[in-house]
Amino acid sequence: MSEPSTVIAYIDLKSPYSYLALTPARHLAWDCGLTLDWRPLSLDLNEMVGAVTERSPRQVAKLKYLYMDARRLAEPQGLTIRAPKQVYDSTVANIGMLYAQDQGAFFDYTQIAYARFFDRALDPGDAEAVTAILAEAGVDTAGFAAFLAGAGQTRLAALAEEALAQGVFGVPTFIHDGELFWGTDRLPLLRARLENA
Amino acid sequence: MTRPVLTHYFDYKSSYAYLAQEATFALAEQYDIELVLVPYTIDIPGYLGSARVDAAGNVLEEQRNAHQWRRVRYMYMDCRREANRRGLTIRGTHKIFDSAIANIGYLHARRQGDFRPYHDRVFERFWKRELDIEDPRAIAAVLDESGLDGRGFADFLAGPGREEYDRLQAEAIAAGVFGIPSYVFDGELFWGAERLPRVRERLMSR
Repeated sequence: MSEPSTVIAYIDLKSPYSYLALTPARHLAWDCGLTLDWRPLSLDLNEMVGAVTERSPRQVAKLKYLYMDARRLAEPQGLTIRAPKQVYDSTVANIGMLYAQDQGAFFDYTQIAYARFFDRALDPGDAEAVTAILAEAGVDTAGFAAFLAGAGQTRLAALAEEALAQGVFGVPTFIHDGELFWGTDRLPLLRARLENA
Repeated sequence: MTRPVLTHYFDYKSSYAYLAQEATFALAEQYDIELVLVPYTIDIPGYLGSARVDAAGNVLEEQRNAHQWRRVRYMYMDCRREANRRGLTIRGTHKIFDSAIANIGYLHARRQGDFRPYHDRVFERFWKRELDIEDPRAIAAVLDESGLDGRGFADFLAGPGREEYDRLQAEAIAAGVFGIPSYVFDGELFWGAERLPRVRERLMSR
């Protein structure tokens, strides 16, 4: 029996489309017998959609559309997306994702963290709040403060460097055999690749 | 009972718009709806920066940061794999073209009758690098070839065509359109051909 395929999946805690990608990606993994290598990636939103005070009319229109579209996609999944009131730095929550993943609690952690963030009940840069979520997800949080200050930062930065080198510019992005698939919209194409492999 | 209207915003210089045409017209045919095409000129440099490359793809000049280059490279790859899948040709452009003239050519075509032959020819030839859409005479030639009046195009372009085009652009922006291809059905905006299945759901549930 051949090795299961691995698909790298880059997501960001503050990205609504990343939240919406979790379940469809899992279904694809189950259907195709593949391993998902989830990796947090902190996007510089100011670069992508403009700093709040400097947004062009087009960026304003696009952002309004993206949250409307995300809510529209969230409905069949039974999820809630409330647009955040400011641009957050999700580094702490993303490092929390790595910590949870190391302890086998990736899905428990992300389910709580995403739901809370998109209910406007979480500042993803708040270490105390993220630690509380880790605990809720059944993770032993004793080493998190040190991880957050040290190894977590290093690993997140290394993942970001690797992502950029692979051509990743946005989330969610899936990579299989060096080919990039940006957005849940491209999961059917990824499925076709896997089924033809 | 009036037929439901599906408005489709396109731009000849958008490879994603080119790729969306087949599914768009197929949907309209399948559901007996009135499909209204509206040209919308996207300002690519405004969000992706700009670059000029030579025939070998070497960059001659650029106003584009690393993030924008990653996006552009992905878009080319993404469009090319879809084009390959469907047997279409999408060749990279060496600069960002001004598509206003060709878009106004569409307005001239639809006034006169069947715009489809003009529309399909412009998309196909532009993306094969066989048509300079910035040349009004080349656009007029395509109009003629498509059984329409190419001689009146210069006047239309200089006057009523440009006015109609500007008005449509302002209306589209007011309707929230920011990207191409886009669709509006029943006041709801959909960006990308990826959303056509959603449009189909709306049509089916009327």
